[in-house]
Amino acid sequence: MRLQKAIFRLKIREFTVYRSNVLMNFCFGCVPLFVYILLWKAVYANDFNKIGGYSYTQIITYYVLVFLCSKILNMRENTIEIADMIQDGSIHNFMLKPIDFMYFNFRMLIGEKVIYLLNICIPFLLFITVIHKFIYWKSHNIVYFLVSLCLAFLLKYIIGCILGFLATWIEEISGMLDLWGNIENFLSGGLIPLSLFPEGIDQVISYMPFKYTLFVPVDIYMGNLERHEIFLAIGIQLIWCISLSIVLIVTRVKAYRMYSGYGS
Amino acid sequence: MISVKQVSKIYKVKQQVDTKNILKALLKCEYKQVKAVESISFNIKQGEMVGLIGLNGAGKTTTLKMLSGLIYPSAGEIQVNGFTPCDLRKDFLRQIGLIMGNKSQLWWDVSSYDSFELEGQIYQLDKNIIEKRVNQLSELLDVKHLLKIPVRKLSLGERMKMEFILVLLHEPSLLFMDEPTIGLDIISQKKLRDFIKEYHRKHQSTILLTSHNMKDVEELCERIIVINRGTIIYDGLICELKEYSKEDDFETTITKLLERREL
Repeated sequence: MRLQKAIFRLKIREFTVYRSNVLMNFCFGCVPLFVYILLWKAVYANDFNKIGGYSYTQIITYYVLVFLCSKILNMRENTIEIADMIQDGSIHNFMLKPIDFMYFNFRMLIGEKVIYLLNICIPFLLFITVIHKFIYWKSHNIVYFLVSLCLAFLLKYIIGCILGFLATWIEEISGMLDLWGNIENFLSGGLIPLSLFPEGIDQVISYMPFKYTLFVPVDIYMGNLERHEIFLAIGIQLIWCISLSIVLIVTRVKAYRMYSGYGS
Repeated sequence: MISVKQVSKIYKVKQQVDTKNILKALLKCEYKQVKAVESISFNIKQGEMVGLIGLNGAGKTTTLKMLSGLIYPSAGEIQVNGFTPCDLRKDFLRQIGLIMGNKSQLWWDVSSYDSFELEGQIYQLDKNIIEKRVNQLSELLDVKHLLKIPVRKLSLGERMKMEFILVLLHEPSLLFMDEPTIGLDIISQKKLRDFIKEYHRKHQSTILLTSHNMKDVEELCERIIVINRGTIIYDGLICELKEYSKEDDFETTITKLLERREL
């Protein structure tokens, strides 16, 4: 707990340096959300009651949730940080501390995300106030949604770390991360709800981890899943977390063995 | 206690290709094996301060990295205080500290004190102990007035002193220093040397130091290990080497030794 407090203090001070950056990113980040809302408004203007099982209110709620969740679940910077640390040798600083690197990195990430949320909460609440009547508030699955969101966070963190450690073998990983990010955005429901895909494709996507990193928690909130389906989805999230943790452990052991301590 | 037996380290280095073979290189990379350290052996007793000397690329930093556990040796056996360093056991890591002159361990955007606080928590030190040690060390290094200034605004000399505080906060019994005075002016170099001497006297810690600055080594260490192209060419006391070479200047002696001229 004392460690987490020290991390919070450090992260708060770091954020005071980059505060304006975070706020600007968030405000400009809202632009795509506005575009989506306008686009779907035009689509629903043609007397459609429901598209792919979504009413107008539901589709707006979907994009607001996707927007907020993807900000919380964004691991790109953490992945790049791990890759950079391997490339420039600064991972030394963590390898030689009597604390597990993944544990420490995860704590740092939690600190970062909490402070990020505190930083954006006022503009986000203002934004929600403006569009509150288009949002579906009556979800009965808030607890399941939060559990699923936490697992999605863990899953994305594990995947991000695996990709970061690949920098031991691949010298420049930013291209691979861009490609991964685009695929992930598409297959996790970041662009359009996965239920709008043809059934066969939807089935194929279910066998990949992407769906469980964004679409599943949002779908749970929207009330599109029955109780047993929620348990199944959370169970699958857990299985992905456990199996990819094993991949991460193996990757890290191999990366440490391969590590040559460049940069000095 | 450090024990190094027949240790070698071979790096696999990716080769740059000609523009003619660029397509071929996309499919298959060529690697060359580079011997950084070749079959070195030495022992260091508890409380000794030893200088590791050699030209650029001689294998000094590679040796330090293997001793601290950052990289695996390709062959041979290393034991440090009864541990195999590359296992990176927590009990082992609590006993060591590594200072690299060209690598910062401080958090760049916040003050040094914030970094010390976090470091203290990582080593599970009590808040009072952190405060007491930071005060003691910062007074000794004359940087107490700089503790609350963001690291990015410190000069190289001031930052290096903060690096020392960070690494010494958990009072390691074994210290590895890789060119700690690199890039510092003569006054800062002198102050750091005095500090290292004082710290060693007070804590009786084992110190292994690499430096291109012969004054650092001459002033601080009694014993030196000279490495050239990955192999040890001298391991012994400085006074013995000086006596044998009959040179007044230590730097000239080392230059002759490294150039393999007659001493």
